[in-house]
Amino acid sequence: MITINPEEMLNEATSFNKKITEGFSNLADVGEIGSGVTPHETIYEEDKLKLYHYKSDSSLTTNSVPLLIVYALVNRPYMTDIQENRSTIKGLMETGQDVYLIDWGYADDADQYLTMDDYINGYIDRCVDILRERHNEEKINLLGICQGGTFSLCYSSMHPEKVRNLVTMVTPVDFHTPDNMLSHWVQNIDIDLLVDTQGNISGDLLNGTFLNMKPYELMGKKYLGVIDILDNPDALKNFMRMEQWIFDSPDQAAETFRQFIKDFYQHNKLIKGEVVIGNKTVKLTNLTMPILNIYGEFDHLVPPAASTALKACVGSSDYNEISFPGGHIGIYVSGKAQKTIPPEIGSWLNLR
Amino acid sequence: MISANDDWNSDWLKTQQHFWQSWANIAGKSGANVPTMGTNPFSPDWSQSLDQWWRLVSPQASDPVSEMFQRVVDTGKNFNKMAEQGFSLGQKQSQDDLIQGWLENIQSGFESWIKQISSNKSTLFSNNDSLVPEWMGLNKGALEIWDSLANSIGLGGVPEIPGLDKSKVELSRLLKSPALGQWREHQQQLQTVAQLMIEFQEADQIYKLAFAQMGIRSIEALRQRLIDDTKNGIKVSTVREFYDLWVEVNEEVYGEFAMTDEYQVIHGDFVNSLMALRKETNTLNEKLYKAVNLPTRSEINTINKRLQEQRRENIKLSSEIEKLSKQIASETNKKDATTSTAHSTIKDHKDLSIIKGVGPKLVEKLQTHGINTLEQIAKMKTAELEVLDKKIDGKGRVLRDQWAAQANQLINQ
Repeated sequence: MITINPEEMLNEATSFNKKITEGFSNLADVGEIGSGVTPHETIYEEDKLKLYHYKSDSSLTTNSVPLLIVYALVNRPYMTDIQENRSTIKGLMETGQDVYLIDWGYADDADQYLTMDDYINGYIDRCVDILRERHNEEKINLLGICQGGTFSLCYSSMHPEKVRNLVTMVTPVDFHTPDNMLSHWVQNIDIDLLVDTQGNISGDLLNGTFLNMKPYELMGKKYLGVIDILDNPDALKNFMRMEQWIFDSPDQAAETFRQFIKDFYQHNKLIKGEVVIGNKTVKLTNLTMPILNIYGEFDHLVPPAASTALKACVGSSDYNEISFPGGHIGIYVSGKAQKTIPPEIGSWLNLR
Repeated sequence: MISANDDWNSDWLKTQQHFWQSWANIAGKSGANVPTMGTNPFSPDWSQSLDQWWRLVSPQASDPVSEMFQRVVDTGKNFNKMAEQGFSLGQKQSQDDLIQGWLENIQSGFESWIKQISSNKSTLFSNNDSLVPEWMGLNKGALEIWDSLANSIGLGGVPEIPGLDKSKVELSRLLKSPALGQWREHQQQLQTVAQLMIEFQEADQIYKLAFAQMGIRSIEALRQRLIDDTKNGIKVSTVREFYDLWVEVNEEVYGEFAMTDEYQVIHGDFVNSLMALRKETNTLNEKLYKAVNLPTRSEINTINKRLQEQRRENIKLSSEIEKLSKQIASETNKKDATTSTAHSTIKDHKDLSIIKGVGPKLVEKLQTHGINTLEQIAKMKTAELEVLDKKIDGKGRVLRDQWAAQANQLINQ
C-alpha cells in the first residue's frame, strides 16, 4: 500500500538534499586512503611484477614452509589487506604463516603479448623458485584467489613437485554452470575479433561488466546508502576504501585475456583436461597434493557450483572444502570471514 | 583528500547558504530557512538545485573523493527526479492515483523510446534516450559501457563519408554506387565501413529495444509487486522505500533477462558488430597515418610482439647461462680441490728427513745444493744420485739406502 503524500515527499527531498550537502563536509575527515596496511618489502621484481614479503616477528612464524598468494589479474591484491581489522594476510600471519604475495602491477600496451604461459610457467614459476631457494624447501604452499586460483590450479598441475599444499579461494573451475552470468554473456562474443581490435582489454570495460551483473544495486542503490553514513567518518572511510578498490582495475594483457576467455569461459577446457599452456597440457588429475577449496555461498561472480566442481577432477585423496555464507568480496573483508577463514586456512596448513 | 585551503570552512558555508537560498527560491518561498510546501502547485527542480550545489563545491574535493561523491550526487539527482515526478503528480491527483500516474509516466517514457528506436530516429552514436526516466539508472547500465566504446569511434575515428551522418537510405545508396577509378580501393573500403556501420546500427537498435521492452516488463512486475504487498499489508510510505522497491524489482527482471538466450545473442551481436566496425575504421585510419608518415598501431604491435619474444628468449638464455655458470663453478671447485690436494702434497714432501738415514745435518746439506723436495730426489737417475752423494759427502748412502725409491714410495703413500 502506498501512503506517500506530496508534503512528505517535499520533506523527504529536503532532508535528503540537506544530508548530502551537509555530509559533504565530513569528507574532509576521511583523510588519506591507503592501499594495504601490513608492512611488507619487495624481495623480487620483474617487469611490472613485484613479489612482496610480509614482515612479521620471526617468533610468530611457526610454519617453515612459505605461503605464496597468487591474486587475480583483475583488480588489485590489496583487497586481502584492506584495513587493519580486515586483513586476510594479517590473519594468516597470526596462524604462523610466512606470507608472500605476487602483485601483478598494471599491464600496458607493451605487455599485450604476455600469454598465460608467460604468467604461469614464467612469472609464477620464477617466484616459486625464489621462495624454494630462499627457504631451502623443495615445495612451498600456494594460495590462489579467483582467477589467481585458476592460475594456481594450472601451475600446480604442471609443477606438482614444487607445491606442498594448494589452497584455492573463490576459484572458477567449471565455467559452464547454469548460474554463471559472466560465462553466459561471453558465449556469443567473437573474442578474437574483440582482442584483435582492442588489444589489451581495459579495466573500465571489465569493471563495467562486473557492475552490470547487478546494475541497479551497484550503480544506484549503493550510493543512496552513502547518504546514511555521511555523518560517520569511520564508516565513510571504509566505504571509500572499498570504492577505491572497486574502481582500481588494471587492463588485461590481450593474449592472456584471449586464452582465458576462449579456453576457460567459452570452451570449459579446464575440467575437460584440454587446456594447453606453453607446450604442456593441464591435467587436474595431476593435483595429488592436499587441497583446500574455499567458496562463497552467495558469490555472484564465481557461483559455488563453479568452484566445488574441483572435487571430482583432482587426483588428491586429501581434498577439503570450506563454504562461507558470503559473497565474492565478503569472503575477504567481512567481520565474520576475518574470524573464521584465515584461522581455518592456517590450521589446515599447519597440519600438513 | 580535501584541499588544504584555509578558506574551506567559509567557502563551504557560503556554498551551503547559496544552496538553501536557491532551494527556498525554487520552493516558492524566500528566506534562508528550509522551505515548506507552497500552496500553489509547481514543478520542483530539486535535482537541478543539487546539481548546482555540486558544481560549486566539487572543485574543493580531490579526485578519489570527488569521483565517489559524483556518483552519490548522480544517484541523488535521479532519486530527486523520481520524487519530483511523484510530487508534481501528487499535486493534481488523489493519493491512490499517484502511484498509478507515476508508473504510467515511466511506462509512457519506455513506449516513446521504443517508438523512437523502431522508427530509426535514434541516431547512431548519440545516446538520445532522454525519454527514458533517468532515475531508472538504465543509462548507467550495460548500454553505457559499450556506448562509450562506440562513441570513442566517433571521436575523429570515423572518416568523413558522404551521407554517413544522414539517414540509412542515403547510406544504402552510397553502397550501391560502383567503385571506380584510382580511388577504387579506398572507395571500396569506405563502402565496407558504411556497411558495417549499418550492421552496427541494426544490432544497436535491437539491443536498445530489448532493454526498453525489459523496462516495460519491470513496470508490470512493479505493479504486480505493489498489489501483492498491499495484500500482505506491506506499506510503502516514503520515496526512498519506493525507490528501494523499484531497484529490487528491476534487479529481478534484469537478472532474468540477462540470463536468457535472447540476451546472449543480442549482446554478442552488438559487441561483435561494434568491433567489426572499429577494426575496419582502424585499418582505414592506419592508411591515413601512413600517408603522413606516422607510426601505426599495427607497427607498434609488431615491435611489441618481437620484444615479447625477445624477453622470453632472454629469460630462457639467462636461465641457461645461470645453470651453466653453476655447472662451471662446481667443476672449478672440484678442480681447485684436486689442485689444492696436489699443492698440499708438495708441501708435505718438503720434509726430506722422512727418508731413512737422513738427519737434520744432511737435510741442511741437501738444501744447500738446491734439493728441497722428495720429488727432486725421486726423479734422479743413478748418475745424478752419485753426483749428489759426492756433493753432500754421503759416503755412498744415497745409492745404498735407495733414496730415489724411498722418495717415490713416500710420495705415493
